[in-house]
Amino acid sequence: MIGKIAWKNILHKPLSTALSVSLLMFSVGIITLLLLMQHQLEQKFQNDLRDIDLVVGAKGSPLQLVLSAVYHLDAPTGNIKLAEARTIMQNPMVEQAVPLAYGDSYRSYRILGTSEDYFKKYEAQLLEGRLFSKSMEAVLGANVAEMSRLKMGETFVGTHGEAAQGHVHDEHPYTVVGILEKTNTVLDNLVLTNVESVWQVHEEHHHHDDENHLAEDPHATRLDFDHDHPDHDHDHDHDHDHSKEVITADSMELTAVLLKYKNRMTMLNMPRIINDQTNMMAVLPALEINRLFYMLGIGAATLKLIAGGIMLMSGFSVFFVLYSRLRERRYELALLRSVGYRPGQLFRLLLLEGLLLTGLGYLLGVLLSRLALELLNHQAAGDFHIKFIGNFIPAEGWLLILTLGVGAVAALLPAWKAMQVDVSTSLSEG
Amino acid sequence: MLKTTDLIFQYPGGSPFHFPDLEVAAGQALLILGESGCGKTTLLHLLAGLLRPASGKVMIDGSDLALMSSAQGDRFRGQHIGLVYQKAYFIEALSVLDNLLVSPFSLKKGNAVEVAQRLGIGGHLQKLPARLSVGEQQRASIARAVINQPKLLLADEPTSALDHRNCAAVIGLLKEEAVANAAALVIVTHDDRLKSEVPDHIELERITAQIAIR
Repeated sequence: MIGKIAWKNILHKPLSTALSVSLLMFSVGIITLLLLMQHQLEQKFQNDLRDIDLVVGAKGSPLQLVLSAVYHLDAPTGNIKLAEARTIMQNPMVEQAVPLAYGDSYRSYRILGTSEDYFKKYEAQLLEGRLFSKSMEAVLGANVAEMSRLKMGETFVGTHGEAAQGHVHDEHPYTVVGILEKTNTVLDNLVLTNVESVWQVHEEHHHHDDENHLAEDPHATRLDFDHDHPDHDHDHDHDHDHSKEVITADSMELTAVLLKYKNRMTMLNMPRIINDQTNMMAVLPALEINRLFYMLGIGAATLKLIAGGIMLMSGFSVFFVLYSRLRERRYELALLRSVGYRPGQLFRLLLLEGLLLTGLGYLLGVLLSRLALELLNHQAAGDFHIKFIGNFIPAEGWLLILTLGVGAVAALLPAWKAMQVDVSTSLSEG
Repeated sequence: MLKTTDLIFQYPGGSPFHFPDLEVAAGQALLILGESGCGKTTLLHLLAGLLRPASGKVMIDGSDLALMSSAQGDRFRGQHIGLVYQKAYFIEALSVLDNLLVSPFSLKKGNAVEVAQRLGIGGHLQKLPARLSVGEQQRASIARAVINQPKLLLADEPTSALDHRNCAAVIGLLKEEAVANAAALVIVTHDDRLKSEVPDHIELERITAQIAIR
């Protein structure tokens, strides 16, 4: 009965209840959303990082290189010469070197030239078909296949750059030879092909741009450099045998290389050597990601502080609601005593009301955070190919305990006062 | 059923009230008349165990209320004593039915419906108490007081807020319920209308010295 009285009581005063509950809802909502995003971003970033010890790419922003080469979230820093990259890839201390060559995009999904090692790194399984065995064969990530509805054997052409209205390479169609199962990694959002295909599609541009070195062009971030010349006259009628020759030439370029060492301890000097002695940049991705999360953490901490302030206010509002009603509820409390309730039970009643108010706020806050997450997913999915899920995380359990703690503390004094109600005096007041 | 002997009560810093000895049998009614300030309500609260006497005995069905611990007293009151007040107090957030069953010692729900029908408020059980008329509220108070089939039914000025028709009806109901539950009924009031309804009555003397101090 105590529970029922407590519940009916907070429903009986909807306005003051709404005030306390909504304050809590917002503070819990903000904190939960932050916790969820932080947790999942870190998990996703950690998951996609796999065993990549070192990322080698063109000189530029280290963070940008990691974001582009490992997570495919940013534009690449530029390209590196295959000849230069090879010296590192063939280093005996390197266990695995995955080359990445950024091609065009297909419906905003990046076409990435790489090797079979890339599939192994992410433990990708084929849903149907096979991996690419020759140029212009493509394997679709799960999300790409789902969104594009491309079937096995169908062909498609890449769009230059990532803009939807970019130049279309319709003279170089890719054929779908495989579709991957969902891996919940970056692979899901990529179109994968071999490095040669990427070269082949852009080969004619290289001929043209050879003398125009990419490192000197601040706008050049891809294998192809003629964004600004849509009317550019391509040599479309090349033949494929000719391109093979070009591919073997050391003047060809990669965008980045993902390295895995045989033994981390023996390779401590490698980044410095690469950075000092070559035109390339070597970055420890784990370090950059830690730095990124540290910086994100400062922003998140500020928001949490604000949310904590709102929670404190909601604690006060719970206190005011319970305390200010004590006077008018004095008869009710005396009545409860007169029908046999103990002072301790009245204490519990008020405590329970505090807990119900805050518990309700917590529930709605968690709901609000899931709603916000959905909204975010809706907006971010297209831009970043990141999908947050609303799974319960352990930190939310701690937040529940904290929230209920606020309710209990706020109810403590009113509950104590409720215990002290003088039954005889209250009931003899006419 | 109810028997008091040598009851004395003293408010902190006040001079003592001496109350006359009372004896009420099961099913019988006693009216205690007196002016405001003569200690009527104090006496009633002593009988209910809401106040503790300085000395004397309050025997209800063989148990001495004055000897019980606070917890025992609350339990005994919840189980065996029904109280009706001048004002009808309710938990305003609860329906009439839930108010009837609010005691932690409440019996089954079916009993509440039966009692409510007996008292003519069977159709109001799902409403909030505030939606009832004053007369209906007082009936609901009586229903709550008798829901546990008490041994002692105490009423504090139950009719002072009521018109003649409701007054007679409420007293009639209280007497009927006392008989139906074999309870001793004690009514304290300054309402002289009740003299004709309840044959047994005593008058509490107004003691000037005490009033001056209170």
